[in-house]
Amino acid sequence: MTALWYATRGTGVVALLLLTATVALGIAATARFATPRWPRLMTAGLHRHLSLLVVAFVAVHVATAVLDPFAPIGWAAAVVPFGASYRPLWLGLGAVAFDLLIAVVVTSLLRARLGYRTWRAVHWLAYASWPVALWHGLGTGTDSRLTPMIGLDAACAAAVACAAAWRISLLPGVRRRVAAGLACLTIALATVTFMAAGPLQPGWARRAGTPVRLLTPNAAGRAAGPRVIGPLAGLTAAGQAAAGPAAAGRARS
Amino acid sequence: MPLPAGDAIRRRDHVLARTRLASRWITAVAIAASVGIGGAVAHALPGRHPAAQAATAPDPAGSSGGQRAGQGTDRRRHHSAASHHHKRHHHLRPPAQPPSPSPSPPAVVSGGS
Repeated sequence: MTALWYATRGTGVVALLLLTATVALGIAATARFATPRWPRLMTAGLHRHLSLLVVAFVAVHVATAVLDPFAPIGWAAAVVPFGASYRPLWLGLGAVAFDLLIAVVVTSLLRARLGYRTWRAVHWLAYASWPVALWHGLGTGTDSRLTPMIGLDAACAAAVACAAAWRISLLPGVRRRVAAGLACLTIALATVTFMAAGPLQPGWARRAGTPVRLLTPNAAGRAAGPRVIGPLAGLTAAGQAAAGPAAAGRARS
Repeated sequence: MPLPAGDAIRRRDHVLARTRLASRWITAVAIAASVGIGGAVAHALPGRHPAAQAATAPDPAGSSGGQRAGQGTDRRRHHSAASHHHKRHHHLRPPAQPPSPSPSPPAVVSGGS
């Protein structure tokens, strides 16, 4: 079942990359970006295709996370925020981002019936789903401290920051530009501060809300004894060898 | 000046075909990247080093898992720990004293008159 966890990680990272591209394309579409070789029709088409691809990857990400027996994540926790026993806040942010994406996709499919104003109001939520998804990845991600992951997250943030800055520069009125710029700057500073004080510090797994039995498998085996049954039995002292060292690595970070 | 209808349709179809092609490429790259990142993460985790796995395999008691769980992601650190564990495994000495006799007599399950 370790493969499921690797699939969760891989699809999660790729979903964030695709979501970043979708947001950048969406910003380009609202700014009516077009060149002779890149018409607006192409921006809109790619934006639509990529957003559906994001939903597909997030669906696989959620399904593999739920089916993986290591972390106690139920199907309900995937859509109902902050109800999980495993890192509830950070997993809840993922559920919020997933719900926002579903709302955006459903309203886009029903756009003709809903009307443009309603669709546009809901579509603004897509902008909110990106930082929420980023924080979910930083807070829940087992390997957020790895340099390549930090690089990927920084690249995503830089891409969205550049697109947002370009879009803000096109806004009419200095006040609106300053307000939007300050909002983006606040989000960026909050993210950097959170990373420095949270996932990059030792002991983040415990502070993030990982169940104690997953942090110290041997202690759990002794404490829970024969009551540890089912999938979690592999995390007891006797089952650790069968569960493999990868499971130990998952429990630690 | 607007394009003639035929040209506009041809141009639109061309753009849509390019969009579909780009979408297919992005999908393929995304799936490959997903598999690649999953594999990379698998090797970045502690315990995924071949030497570490070889050291873990013959441990029938499974007592090293929890200790390994407390270690960091530094592969070198883990490798040295695994080597140390490996050496310890091959340099076992016989116990200094024989096992102490059991204080309770063996249980009799049959016999007697």
